[in-house]
Amino acid sequence: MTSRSILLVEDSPDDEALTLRAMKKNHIMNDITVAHDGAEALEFLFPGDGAADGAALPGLVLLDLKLPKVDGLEVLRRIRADQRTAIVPVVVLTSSKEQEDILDSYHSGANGYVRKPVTFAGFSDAVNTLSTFWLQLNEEAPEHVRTTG
Amino acid sequence: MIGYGRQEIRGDMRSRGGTSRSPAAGPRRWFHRWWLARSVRAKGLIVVAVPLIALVAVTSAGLVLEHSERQQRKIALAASALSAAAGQVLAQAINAETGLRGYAVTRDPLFLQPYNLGLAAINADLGLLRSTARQEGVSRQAQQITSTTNEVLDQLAVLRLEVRNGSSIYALIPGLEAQKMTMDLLRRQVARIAAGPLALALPRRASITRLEQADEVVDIAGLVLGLLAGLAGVALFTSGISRRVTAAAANADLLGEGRPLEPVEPSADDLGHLADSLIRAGGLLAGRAAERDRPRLALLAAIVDSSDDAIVSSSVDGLITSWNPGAERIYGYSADEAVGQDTGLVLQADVRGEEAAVLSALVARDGRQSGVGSLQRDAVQQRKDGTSVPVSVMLSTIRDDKGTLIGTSSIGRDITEPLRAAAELRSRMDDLERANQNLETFTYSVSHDLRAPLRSMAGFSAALVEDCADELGADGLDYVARIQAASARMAALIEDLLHLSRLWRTELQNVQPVDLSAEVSRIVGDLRLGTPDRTVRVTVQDHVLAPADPVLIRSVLENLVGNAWKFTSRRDDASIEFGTRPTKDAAVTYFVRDNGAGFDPAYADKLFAPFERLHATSEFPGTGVGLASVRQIVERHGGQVWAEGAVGAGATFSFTLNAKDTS
Repeated sequence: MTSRSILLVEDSPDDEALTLRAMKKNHIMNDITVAHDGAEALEFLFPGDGAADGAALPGLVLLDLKLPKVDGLEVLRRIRADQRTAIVPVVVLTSSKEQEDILDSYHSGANGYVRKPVTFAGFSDAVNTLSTFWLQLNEEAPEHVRTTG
Repeated sequence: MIGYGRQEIRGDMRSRGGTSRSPAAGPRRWFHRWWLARSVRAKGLIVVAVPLIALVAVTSAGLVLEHSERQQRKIALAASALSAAAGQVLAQAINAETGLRGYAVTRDPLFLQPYNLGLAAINADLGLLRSTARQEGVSRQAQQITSTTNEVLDQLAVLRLEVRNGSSIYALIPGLEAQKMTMDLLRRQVARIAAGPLALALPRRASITRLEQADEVVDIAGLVLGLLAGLAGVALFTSGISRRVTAAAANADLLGEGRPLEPVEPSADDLGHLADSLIRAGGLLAGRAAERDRPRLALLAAIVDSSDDAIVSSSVDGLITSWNPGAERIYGYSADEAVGQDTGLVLQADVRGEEAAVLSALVARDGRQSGVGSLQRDAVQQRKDGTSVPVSVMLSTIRDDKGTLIGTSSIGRDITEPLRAAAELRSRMDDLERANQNLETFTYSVSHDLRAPLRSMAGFSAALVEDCADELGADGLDYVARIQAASARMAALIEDLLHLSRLWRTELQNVQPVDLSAEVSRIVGDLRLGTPDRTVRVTVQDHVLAPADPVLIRSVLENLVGNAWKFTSRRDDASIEFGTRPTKDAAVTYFVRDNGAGFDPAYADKLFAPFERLHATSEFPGTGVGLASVRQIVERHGGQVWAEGAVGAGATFSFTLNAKDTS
């Protein structure tokens, strides 16, 4: 279980640091990969021509929406468009509370939408809850379904 | 043009009379004038008398003729009676003579019978003759016949005696001869008396026939004359009275309508006076109207001259007839240059045809109906110097008081400035619209983007406290706590700002009856849960329903009740009331009243401005956005919100709602 990694797509170094701190505070020991923009995230998920092999696919993607180069919604669409990554859990973690963003995210296949709380306590709680739910509580799809689609 | 005077009509009549004075027309004209000069009573009498006189004359003539005819008949009858009576006397005399002669020849007394018969009847016949003759005035002749008859009878009596005494026939001859002579005399006398009436009777019969014929002629003539006179009467009445009464009535109507009167034939009778009076009244009215109109016309002229608009009139054939100073200013042509020119003078070549079509469409309308005779259009027209000028033109038809088209008027206003102002306004509106959109986007993105650094501030200051508490010391921890508090307050501000900006952008869509009482009770319930240690007396009026957007009106009530809850926090006897009260214009006013800290009424208008606060945050926490969004929502509902209160004496927040139910 703990082997499943987390892909954090976050362009803000502060938010990155706070997220990592929150993970550490909450004793989440999973591998965390950080992509600083949409292109980096896509490169991680689909290195070269093919996708990352089954073992390299993250167990959870925390995706910010406002990203340089390729924005979060586009990354989400690409993830859902490819059958190898179509069912990877993606939770949007962003500052926006705009209804349009929320709707767009769900329509594009987000598994959840969480607004980053301002206070660290709140933020820390949110990160902890998310990680615990998706990486520990939630039952992931069987391996063969993940590879065959 | 306003009215015809009496003098003009007189002149008109004279000139017409002068040209038509022909020999044949002379008597007729004379009669015409004479007839017109008679009073209506005289005309009536004449009209009645003419046929009456004709009838009386004919009847009288008939009566006279009939009388004389009767006389003639009587005379003729009497004449024949006289003749008969005389004949009777002669016949009796002849009877007596015949009887005596038979007796003289035969000596037989039997032959005396006719003699005796004659003697017996003759006296009666003589009496009849005399009485008839007396009636006829020929008594002398009757007397002569009587005496001759008596002589004949005497002679016959002598002869009878001689026969009886036996005288021979020859001895009788002298006596017979004498008697025969007397008898002849009698015959002549009788013949004369009979011839007299006969001579009278014959011409009388002729005259009776003549009279009878004359009678018939008179009857027919009377019939014809009566008919003609009747017709003449009717004709005179019609021409002399009815027609003119109708004309006078028509003029009276025209007078009433204030329109020019029709001229009438001059006449001296009552109807003529009446018609003249009407004409005079018309003239006086027209004169007074002209008198009255003079200052008005001067005023109108002054208005036209002083107008900044180009006021131009043109004739039916499109030539300019007047050109005011405003037209000079707008178009650059002087009145002298423009008057007499075609109206196309100021039209740009490409719209001349169009303008003509507009004009003819306008002329085709019925100008009597108000508003229909005018047409407003904006056009680009041409100045004398060739430059163009945008003009708003009101074209109208001009009609005289009989409704006849006499031209068109055009009132043109130079709309260069209004057009420029409108364009500027439009551009400013666009700017404003753009600025508003920018502001919304800005507000929204700022409130988002502000959150990221806030999160950093909050997050890292928390990390500082957790990781470096020892190094920081008491002062350092205090400073970090202030940073965290400030971050939290700023986060709250940003939340409210977002909320407000969302209100600015959303339209009121879902309006339905909302139970405000239930909402208030629910809000109070939540507040009680949040602060269980407080004791607040809350009074909520039951079943207050209002058409509103449920989500938005809930926000209003949350703000107002929340404020009341907040500002009564320092009182032990806190009291909050929600209810309604009627207002003058039947609209309902809703209110939330508390007995809390209140506010200084001098700053009442600041309450509803965003980020305005009348209390220190340390005293009562808050961002100052709540009431701004309350006002925003209430105004979205077509209502108003206001506050009353005093420092330490509580506050009452009232609002009205005027939204249309969309459910």
